[in-house]
Amino acid sequence: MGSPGKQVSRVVIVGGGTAGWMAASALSHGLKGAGVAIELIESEAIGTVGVGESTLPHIRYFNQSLGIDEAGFLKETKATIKLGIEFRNWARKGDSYIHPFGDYGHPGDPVDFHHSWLRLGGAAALGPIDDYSLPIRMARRERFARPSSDMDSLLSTYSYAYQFDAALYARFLRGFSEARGVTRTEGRVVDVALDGESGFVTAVTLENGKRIEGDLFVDCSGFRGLIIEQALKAGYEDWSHWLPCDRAIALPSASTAELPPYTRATAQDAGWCWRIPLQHRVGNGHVYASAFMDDARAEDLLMQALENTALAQPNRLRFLAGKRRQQWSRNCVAIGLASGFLEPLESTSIHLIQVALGYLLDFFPTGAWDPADAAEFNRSMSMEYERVRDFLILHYHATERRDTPFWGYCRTMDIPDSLTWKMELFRERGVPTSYEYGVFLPPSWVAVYIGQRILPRRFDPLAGAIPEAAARARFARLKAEIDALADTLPHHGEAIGMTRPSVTATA
Amino acid sequence: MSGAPGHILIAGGGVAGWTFALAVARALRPLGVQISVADPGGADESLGAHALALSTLPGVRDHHHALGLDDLDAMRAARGSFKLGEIYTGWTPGDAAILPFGETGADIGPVRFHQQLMRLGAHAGDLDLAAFSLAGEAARLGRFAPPSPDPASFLSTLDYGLHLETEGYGQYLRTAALKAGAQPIDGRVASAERGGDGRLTAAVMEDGRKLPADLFVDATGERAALISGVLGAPWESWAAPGLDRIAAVITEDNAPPLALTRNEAMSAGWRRDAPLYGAAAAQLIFSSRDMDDAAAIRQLGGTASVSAFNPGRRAAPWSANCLAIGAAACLPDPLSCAEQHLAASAALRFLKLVPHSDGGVVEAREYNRVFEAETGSARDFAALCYLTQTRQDKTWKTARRADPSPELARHMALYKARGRIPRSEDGIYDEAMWAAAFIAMRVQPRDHDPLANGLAEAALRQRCEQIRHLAASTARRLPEHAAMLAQVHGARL
Repeated sequence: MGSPGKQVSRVVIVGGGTAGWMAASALSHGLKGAGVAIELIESEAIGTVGVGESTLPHIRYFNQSLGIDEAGFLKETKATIKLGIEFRNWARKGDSYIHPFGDYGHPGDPVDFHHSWLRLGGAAALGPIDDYSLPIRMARRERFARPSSDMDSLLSTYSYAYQFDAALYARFLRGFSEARGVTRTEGRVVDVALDGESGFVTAVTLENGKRIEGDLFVDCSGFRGLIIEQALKAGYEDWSHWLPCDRAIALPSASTAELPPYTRATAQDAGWCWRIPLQHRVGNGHVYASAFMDDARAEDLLMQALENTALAQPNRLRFLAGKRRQQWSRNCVAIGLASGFLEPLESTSIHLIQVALGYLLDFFPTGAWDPADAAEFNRSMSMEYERVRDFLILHYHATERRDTPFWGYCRTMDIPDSLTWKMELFRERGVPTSYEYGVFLPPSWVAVYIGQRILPRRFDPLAGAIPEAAARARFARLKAEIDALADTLPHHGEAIGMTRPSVTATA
Repeated sequence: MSGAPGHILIAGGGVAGWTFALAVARALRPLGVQISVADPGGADESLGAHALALSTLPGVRDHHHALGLDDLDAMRAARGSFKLGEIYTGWTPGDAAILPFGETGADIGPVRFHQQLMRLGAHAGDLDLAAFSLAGEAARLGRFAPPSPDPASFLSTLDYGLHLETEGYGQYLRTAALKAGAQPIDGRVASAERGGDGRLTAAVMEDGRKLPADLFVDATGERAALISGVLGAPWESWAAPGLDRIAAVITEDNAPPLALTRNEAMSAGWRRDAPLYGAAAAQLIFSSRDMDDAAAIRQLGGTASVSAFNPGRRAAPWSANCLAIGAAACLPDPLSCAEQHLAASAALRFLKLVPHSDGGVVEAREYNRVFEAETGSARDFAALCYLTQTRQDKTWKTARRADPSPELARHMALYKARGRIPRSEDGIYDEAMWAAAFIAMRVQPRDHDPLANGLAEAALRQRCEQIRHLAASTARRLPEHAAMLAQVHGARL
């Protein structure tokens, strides 16, 4: 029927972990009935990082599209709710702001909220812009309720994501995938065979000598890029001059009495520390630039940042910010760390896996391997990566800190032209550039610009349409409304049906 | 901090000028901004001399909503009729294909509807997408009803644009703009004076009057009195090789109007017919090497006027404190259905980027960036037809010689490979409309989406048949288009 061209009938995923099992889930679901066999190769000998993972709201659509029930998912992955990210000490030491998954003000305000806030004098006159965001208030008060679909309600002004145990999520998706026919093969890949003429991957060989052939290879082998780089030499675009952090130390700690529905990123002398509260523990880590800080000092700073007893030995990671030049090369598509690395400052790792899988399904190859498919995939992923990259650079570059050489470097470094333009437009006129594709929408850009103390020189003249006194009264009412509403909402733990037997350290 | 420009002067009225005046008057009058429109009266020059009627995309209704306008009032003022899509005849010799608005069939997860049909063996050469579309079937049967707001109803899948007589529509917009506080000034802007910093200081009228303002909007059409005449912003031409003339006419016609715009390719060019209520608008785009003006006029009827056809766009429509709109900024090929869209989107985009009286540099740059993407999609949508038609006449062989833009080349490569449409930002047409255009032009992909192979064939076939049946049976029960128009206009033709 149709065009009976040769079809891709065997997909081999190399590597488990979050990327591998997300790929197995999305492909087994999306290719259901298409006669495509999916095999995943992973080795238990290769450990996972074993820390918490913080996500973006889009993960909910990934789960929903697979038909995953939220309550079961929250329980299995020991997940908590995430309403945003708190940034501490970024523009100046002592600063704190939240980048919320939501908007400021009332739904349907005719002029974007920050223009009205600036017009009346901004923080000096009205207090921080954070005071006018329901999700930020909810986050600070540890409250949560699911958003409302009533577009007139303040409860429609936000979205939410999860903080979960990535290893448990991978295990959860493994069950999902295996139930849909994905076969799992234990073993370590030791050789990749390429076709002499086309350069296509024909098979991988495991340590035990087993040879596994395939039509499409999905490289989820992590940063080393077993197929995409080691075999296919796709090349790497190095972005470390813009994002100089190249190491991390990760370490779980015991829960505390708090259960914040947000992730925290605290700027340090040469990087930043994360804090991700899960149901059963807290994920911590320190991302730093080795050119500006040694490993011992980095570990000291992480230990100082812990709020409770460490539950394991520190886990050390090395990386290089950037992306694979060709994320789809010949018959191999790299997903997850094999495709590139952007530090988890804005929780984009899982999201980039998710969008790559979306694009892969959109342009799933026919047996003809038309180069237009790979070209479109690569073009789309480059755009996604570059837009996240610019957003991350903004956090480092828009700083007033002069206290360490690291911050001096970040403050004065050259930045990509695309970001220069975005910052100029905001600085001059308060307009966040908008784009249809790419993860962060204008409210996210506004939150980070203002949080990083980039205040527009001018606001939208349309903000002046309401008389000043009336506008001031509206602000006061809004703040009171947000404060009152937040306090009527359930506590975070209660909202997710969590009962915690003990909040004290056990180690 | 300064405020909004104290005085915005719009040079030229017409649909582009008055749409802009209406939008800014509604938003900026409360701030005390003075908005004047120097309108010479007479024929609408703002969208180009040959745009006697507008054949819009469905987005016109959103634009009306955003501007506080009423679709039916606009139709009454402009001999309006409903438009359910486009029909192309002769672009492949002997062929006719409808490009319907609204939803065609239904996607299954990520598998687009046309991929489902191709999976069932459909061939682009004879694929009749309209049979799976309520708008398409209704158009074929001469029927019409507004879509249902209930998404569960099949009636919600219909969507429509409008056919509007440019002159009447311009008058309607003018009345609304004046009511919103715009001030009319009689006379034609001929030129402008510039200050030492390159910014315009005053418009100069044909009679010598000088009108100072802070921001100047050039709606003088192809004349481009300010953006080209004074500022010298260059024009980027998009004309398909050889197609260099355009004739246009409106004639009285009491036949019940078709709810489609018709594009008929002929040996020396092509003809576009937009049916109005009690009238018919026609355009003929042709090659002067293969047809002379007299022959073109004979073909359209006695009062047709002929002019040079030079579609394209201005490199930087917002330069200094001058913003060009309408044909002064972009003259799209009629195939792109974009005249009204561009007029409205210019005004609405400007409202997001209102400059301060002494500013405008970053606002202009951002405006121009989006303008470039938006007009690029209009250019490509029309170019697609010229490049993929398969006629053997000299005129058409020549038209095929153009190079596609890199963006269109990408669209074409991906579609030809397996019928997919790439994402593109700030474009005018959605993915389904691009796919329908490729199918209307009978471009056959080498393969279909492999994900479609996952759908069980028998069940899929049955589902598609059900949709076809539903479209036909629902369309048959809709009121006649002529009866709906009689209701709108208060009298039967």
